[in-house]
Amino acid sequence: MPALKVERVSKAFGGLLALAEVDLEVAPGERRAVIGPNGAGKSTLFKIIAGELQPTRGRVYLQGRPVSGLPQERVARMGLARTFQKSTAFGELTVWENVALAWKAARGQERDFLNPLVPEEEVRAVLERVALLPRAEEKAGNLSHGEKRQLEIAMALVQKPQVLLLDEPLAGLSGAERERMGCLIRELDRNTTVLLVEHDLDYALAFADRVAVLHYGQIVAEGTPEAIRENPVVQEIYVGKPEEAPRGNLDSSASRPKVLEAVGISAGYGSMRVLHQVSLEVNQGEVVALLGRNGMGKTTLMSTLMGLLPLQKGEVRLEGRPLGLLPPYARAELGLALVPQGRQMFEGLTVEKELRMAAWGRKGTWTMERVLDVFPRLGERLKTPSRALSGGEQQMVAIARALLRNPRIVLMDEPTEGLSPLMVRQVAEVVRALKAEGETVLLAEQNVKMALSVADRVYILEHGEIVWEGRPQEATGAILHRYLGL
Amino acid sequence: MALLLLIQLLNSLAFGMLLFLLALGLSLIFGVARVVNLAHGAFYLLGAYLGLALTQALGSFWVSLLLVPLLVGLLGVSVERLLLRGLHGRELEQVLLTIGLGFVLADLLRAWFGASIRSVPPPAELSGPLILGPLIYPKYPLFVLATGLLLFLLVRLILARTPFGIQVRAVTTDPAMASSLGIRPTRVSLATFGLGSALAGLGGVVGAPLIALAPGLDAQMTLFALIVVVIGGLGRIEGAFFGALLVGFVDGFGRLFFPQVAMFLIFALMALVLALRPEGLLGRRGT
Amino acid sequence: MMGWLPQVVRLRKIHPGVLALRASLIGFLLLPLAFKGYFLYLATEAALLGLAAVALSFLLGHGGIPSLGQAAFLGLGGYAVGLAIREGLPLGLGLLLAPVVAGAYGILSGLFVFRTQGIFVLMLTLAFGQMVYSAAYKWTSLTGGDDGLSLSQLSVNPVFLHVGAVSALAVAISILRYLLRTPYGKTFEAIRQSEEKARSLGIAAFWHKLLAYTVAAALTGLAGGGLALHRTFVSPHDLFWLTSVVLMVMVLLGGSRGLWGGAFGAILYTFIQAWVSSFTELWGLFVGLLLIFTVLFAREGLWPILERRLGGGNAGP
Repeated sequence: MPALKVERVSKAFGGLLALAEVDLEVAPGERRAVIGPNGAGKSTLFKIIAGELQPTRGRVYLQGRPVSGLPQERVARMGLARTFQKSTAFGELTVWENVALAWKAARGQERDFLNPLVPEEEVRAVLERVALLPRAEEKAGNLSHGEKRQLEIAMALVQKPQVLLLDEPLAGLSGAERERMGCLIRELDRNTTVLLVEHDLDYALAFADRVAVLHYGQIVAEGTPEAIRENPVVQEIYVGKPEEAPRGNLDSSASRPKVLEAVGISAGYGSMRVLHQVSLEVNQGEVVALLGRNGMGKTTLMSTLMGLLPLQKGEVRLEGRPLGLLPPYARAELGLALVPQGRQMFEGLTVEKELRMAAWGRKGTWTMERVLDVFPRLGERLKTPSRALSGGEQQMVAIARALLRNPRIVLMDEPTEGLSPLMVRQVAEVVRALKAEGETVLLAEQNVKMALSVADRVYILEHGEIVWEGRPQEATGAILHRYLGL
Repeated sequence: MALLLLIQLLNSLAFGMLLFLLALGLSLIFGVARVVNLAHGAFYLLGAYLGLALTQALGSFWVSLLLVPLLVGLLGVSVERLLLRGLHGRELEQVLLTIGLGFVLADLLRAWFGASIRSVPPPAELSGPLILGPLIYPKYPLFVLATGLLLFLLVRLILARTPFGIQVRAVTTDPAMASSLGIRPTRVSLATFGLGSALAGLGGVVGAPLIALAPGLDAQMTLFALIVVVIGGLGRIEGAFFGALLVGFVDGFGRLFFPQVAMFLIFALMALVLALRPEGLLGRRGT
Repeated sequence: MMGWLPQVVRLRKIHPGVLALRASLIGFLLLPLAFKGYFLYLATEAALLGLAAVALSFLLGHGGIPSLGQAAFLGLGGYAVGLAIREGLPLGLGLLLAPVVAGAYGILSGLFVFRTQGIFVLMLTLAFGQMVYSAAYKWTSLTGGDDGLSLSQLSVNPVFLHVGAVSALAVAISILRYLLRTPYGKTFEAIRQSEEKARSLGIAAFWHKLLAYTVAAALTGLAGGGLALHRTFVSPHDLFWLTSVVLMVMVLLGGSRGLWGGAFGAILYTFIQAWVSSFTELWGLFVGLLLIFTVLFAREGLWPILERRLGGGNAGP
């Protein structure tokens, strides 16, 4: 009997289908990795298994017993433990109290009101195992990010689960910490079935017995790590079809003025450091692409540049002027424009309103007429609510919004995410057209092929650091596979 | 009997429109500034007393109808700027601050205007009855009704057509993205607070001839406004409109047919909506 | 034994300064016994309201539950005692009924309240509180309506009542503080910090919070019953949301964590209010300013500041 069985699970959020007929069977003691690009549905799948979300269709079975439909606390009681992507320990309680509570809860004793909470032997043992014993009396909120992740694992382990869901356990960890955490996970009890979601593909493939690949909410491949590595479909999802050398552009940008410069940026969420000493620059009239698998920090970098996320170290300069901690609207006024990941259309506004709102108060060559010239489809849809448009059309609105601000530089965050191949080509056309008009673009993309076909220069981000920089022609197959492939 | 029902209907509608004026302000303030302003009823009372004083001083109801909302709106803007700005993001504390403010305001009004019940006569042009066949109905409540309707349409227009209105809607839905497009959320927030408070003040001037002024009225009106907004949906003006009508009806007909339980029913309705459909009857799910 | 965690299992060491501070709070409450009269009256009032404030402090400071409907429990307790007396039942039974009735309403309203979070909890508890208020106000045959319920035929020895009140307060603080050290209490705090995480560990947060809410309601009901005996009068006005706000002011003023703050806030408030009303009717102005002041400048409350000063910086809850 499989330890975990997901049977034809589908999940729809309104009109959006996040998961489509997902089937999964994990044998007892197996190590299964679930990989896939951003938006593929991995975290939705986890949430459904854990009971945080209910499937629209389909069922989940834990040790043969149906759990879909049960609240997550019941599912947890039945032998499932999970770690979260964002460390969620109880910050005001001490480390040992956190683990002790998890232990008590696992044994159904969390309502004990007669005896004070004391650290039992089991708690001590687990803390020792994750190397947190010296920090046992520290308040969990004071731990470093790495230590918080260790605590997260400790709280899961002490529950002695039958099935363990690990949601990106290595996220935000530095080299040595990744090593430690990686070892810890590898040494987990073989009696425990482990389901792992990780963006560190090397680790995931080394760790797993079997791998499942999710794309657009469907399992597109399943098998041993070797088989997955060879699988051409999977290759294409990550790296794109092997093709003729990307065209790029040949003229040198050496003499162009710098528009945007990032110097030694470190940023993250709370104590979690995502970006480490990132430096890059974008010159006038260039299209610069930022590549990297998801989870590597592309969106974090874009958010930091726009001021949506505070900088922890380093500086961002627009045309030489340091932006400090200016809020997004101030940066927008100075000439930064963002085409955000996910498009972010406003509820209840028509296309026309969105565009007029963006254009309000900004003068320049990009007028409504000119924008509608470039995007004729939008002209037909002016009175339609922006949220009712297709993904591709929404992307056009998002780009148009940015252009109407007549910016000094356009930041595009994963514009092709979730779009059909046809729309992807259209977006590429738009970017080329922008370049022809002399606009400056910083493009964060997961679609390597598309990015290489439009960029003048390329940066590659891995684990929050710039690991490669150069021209598209220089980005050989070997380099691409090393950083972006499997 | 039918006549009685008709009269009660008109009464309920008029009261409902008054509630709408209040609830609209509260709803806007919550939608944009994310503050549950429990001093709203005190702003109403302030508007009412100010209206009374100004009308007596200046001799014109219409002038004070124009001036009072402006003054109360200014107060709202100052409150947001000076007191609430520092508590950004801390919902509970903001609510408590507004409660405190409401108490202060109410007591200051009581000190200045006295604790006795004041009934305010409607302006000469609007006093007296309207006679339509067998129906004899006072003119003033009809004026209140008309004002409410007018404002509903006006505010809807502002929100739908003007740049300010669009910015308000953008900031309500997605403040981060709005900021990325150059909209200053704080500025919009300030303006909305001013507008919302002005509406409460307007409600006070308009409502004074309808509901006698007395200490404690502020708490009552705050509660009513809160109920309407909860039932109709926080942040949506259609919700405030229909919610106000609903509450007006329940209150009006409740008083007539079930006087003992009318109050209880209204709170029970509020509780039910909050527990089962917290986004309100007309609200949309999600933040 | 567990040599590796020295402090924990041994008797909790409380700094002598803090111990002295807490003792003096109780001492202050017992002082009026020597003076009787109005001072004693106020002190009993403070002790009883303190009990309600401590219950709210437990809910708000430790469970993150912002209840603006505690007046309902206070009033229900008062009416339970009042009606029991009117029907000729023994006093003890009345005092037993008070927490029971209040606790029952706690369960009933809690079933709805804990389906929501955050600001909605505030509004929902307000609504439920007002429901009881309107019932008390309108159901004149039962409650006497606006005229209230008079218990003047009863005469309870004020000293007896006072000692009872202070003991109840002290006992409640001790029990609740102990509770906060047990798995139940720690889980309660954990739910406040991250309900999502707690549920993923198998904790049924809904029922956990409901239980705490009921206990707090019962304690508040007991306080209300005591108040009925103390004032020999119960009126619907006690149930108006104003009273809930006053309780919240006490908790915020004194400090919402640690429970002692609640008692301190109640004492502070009661005496200051008595003093202020002796020369002005503008009691609402005073409460409002106090609330604004507390929110802006003394968010943690005054008691923790005192404990820190006297405890050399090592006074935890």
